[in-house]
Amino acid sequence: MMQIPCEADSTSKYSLTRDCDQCKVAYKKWLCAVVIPRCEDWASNNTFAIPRNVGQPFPNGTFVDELEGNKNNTQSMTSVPGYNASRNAFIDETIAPGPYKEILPCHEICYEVVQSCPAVLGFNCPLKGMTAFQYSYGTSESAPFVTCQYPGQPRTIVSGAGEMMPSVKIVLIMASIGVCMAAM
Amino acid sequence: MHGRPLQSRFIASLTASLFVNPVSWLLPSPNFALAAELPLDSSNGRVDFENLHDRSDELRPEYEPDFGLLDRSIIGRQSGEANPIEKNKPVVFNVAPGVSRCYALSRQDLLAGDDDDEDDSQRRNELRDLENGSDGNGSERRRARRQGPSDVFVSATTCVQPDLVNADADNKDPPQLRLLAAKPGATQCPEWMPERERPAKSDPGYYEEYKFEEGLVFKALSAPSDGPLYVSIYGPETSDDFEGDYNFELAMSTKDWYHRFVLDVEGSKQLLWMDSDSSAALLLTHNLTGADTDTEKILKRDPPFELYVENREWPVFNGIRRSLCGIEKKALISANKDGSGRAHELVRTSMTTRGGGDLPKQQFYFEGLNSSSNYNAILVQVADASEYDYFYDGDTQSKRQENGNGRQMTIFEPTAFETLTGRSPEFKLACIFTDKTRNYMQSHHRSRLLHRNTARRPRQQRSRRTRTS
Repeated sequence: MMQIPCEADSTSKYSLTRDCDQCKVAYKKWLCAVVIPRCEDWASNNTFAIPRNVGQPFPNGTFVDELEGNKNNTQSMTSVPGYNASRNAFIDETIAPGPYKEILPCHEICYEVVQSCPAVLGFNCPLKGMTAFQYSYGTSESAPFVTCQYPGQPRTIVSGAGEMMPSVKIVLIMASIGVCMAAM
Repeated sequence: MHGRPLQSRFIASLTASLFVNPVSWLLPSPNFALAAELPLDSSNGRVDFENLHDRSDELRPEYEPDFGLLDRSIIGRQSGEANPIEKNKPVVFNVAPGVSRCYALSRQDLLAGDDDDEDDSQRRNELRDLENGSDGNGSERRRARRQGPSDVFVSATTCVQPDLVNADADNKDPPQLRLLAAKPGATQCPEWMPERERPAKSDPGYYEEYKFEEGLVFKALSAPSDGPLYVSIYGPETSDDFEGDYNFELAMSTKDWYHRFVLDVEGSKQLLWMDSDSSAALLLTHNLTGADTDTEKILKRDPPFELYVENREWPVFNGIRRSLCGIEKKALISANKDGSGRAHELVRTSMTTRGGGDLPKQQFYFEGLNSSSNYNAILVQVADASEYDYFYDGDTQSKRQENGNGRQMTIFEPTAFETLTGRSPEFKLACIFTDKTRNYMQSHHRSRLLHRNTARRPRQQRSRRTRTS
């Protein structure tokens, strides 16, 4: 960002509707959402949360395979790279919480970075339907669950009209992100 | 010699009588003392006993027995005896099932001076009118003031309801209390009657019946133009499945309700459950104001909300969900302003601007909860009689009346929240990686201090602000 002319006049700026501060905020929000996943209980019945780290054992030593033994999908789960690891290797290696379910970040978080930051950074987002989108981002759906993780979104289900979405002017800086840690 | 004593005696008595008699004739004729001085009614000469009663004693025309050791139910049912109630002074009392208790707000009290601000502004208006020479509006205002307010805001909550003693009962909730309001101009207390025997509208004993909803009733009743306003609180008969009396709190005001319930606006809830793990949970209220210029001011004040939590496995709020005095007695975890509620060490509260627009809101952070538990939290906005407590009504702030007692409350719908299971890895809520980290840590720290120092809060040190400020 040091190389982007942020203080220039309107003819030289990279965008007339966004500035560098908004880019920084949007990027930070994306980085937090992606690096620190929002976790759910393994026992959660939230169909929009995807399993992560299924290859590791639970804190009590059991494996997902044993747990879901009578279900046929155990083999396929560990073979899917998206399920077998966390997005952030630090979690699997250092924290090692065992299998968990993640509520994926909303895809708007990624698009905001594209919208707010200069194109020269080369930041791109997958669209729904593209390969591996379903392991990276979630979409807002009307369901009795939290379908995708947006900073500041409460677990209390409010109707669509009440959902908090960022406006162009208001900078939404949120700080409620779940971090998974092993229970020792 | 023998004639002399007789003669002298005769002469002596004659002289004496000659002296005394004129004196007695000269004195004015005495009146006979009457047993009673009765004011005679000039029209027909009969004695008018009505005028003997003191006019100001209209509330207590009969002798009311009051034996300190015995309670009312032993002495007899309250049959139409009104207990006086004052504006802005809530009363708390018991009422047994099948019994009603009557209250009367006298006309004098209804008209009694409201805020000095209002009087001052009225006086200023009147003086201005006199200066200008126009008398039209002034006299109208004076007439309006003499007529008094047109509405009385009556509200009541159930603090205690009869306990369920039969676990197999079909209906596990006792019946709700009733508020009976006599029509304006009534001269007696409303007496509860079963549906069929209820008096007609033209009857002097007519009343409107309002059933409490979840332990709360709040109505604006028309102020009578003459005479007191009579209301009764009636405790319905309960079956053998229940035992015990009702206890209620009743308040009347000409400004606003003392107790009220506000439905969540469509699409937004007043209290939101943000997230939780197996033993902690975070709840945030709605923004206290939409104007960010007020943020600093609001953050400096004490948090205005209190929170009461029940475990859904053992519900204790049934029937009293909208009553502050009810839920504060029964809650499993209470975060009240004093920091003295049950299990208050499990919850910390403070003001924050985190989450959405940098606007002030109140947060409640629970720690030490049981895993895999479901809870209901009820948010209550409470204002004390201290002048530093403000009542937020959307964006307008109304200052609590200084001469009021008790706790004015606005209560909201419950918000459900739960903790995750303990079998999965322990999850921890953390706030990192944002600009607002420092703010959060500060507010967190402040909330700890707030909690610890609550008992020693130096309220007396604050100087009283003058009304003009």
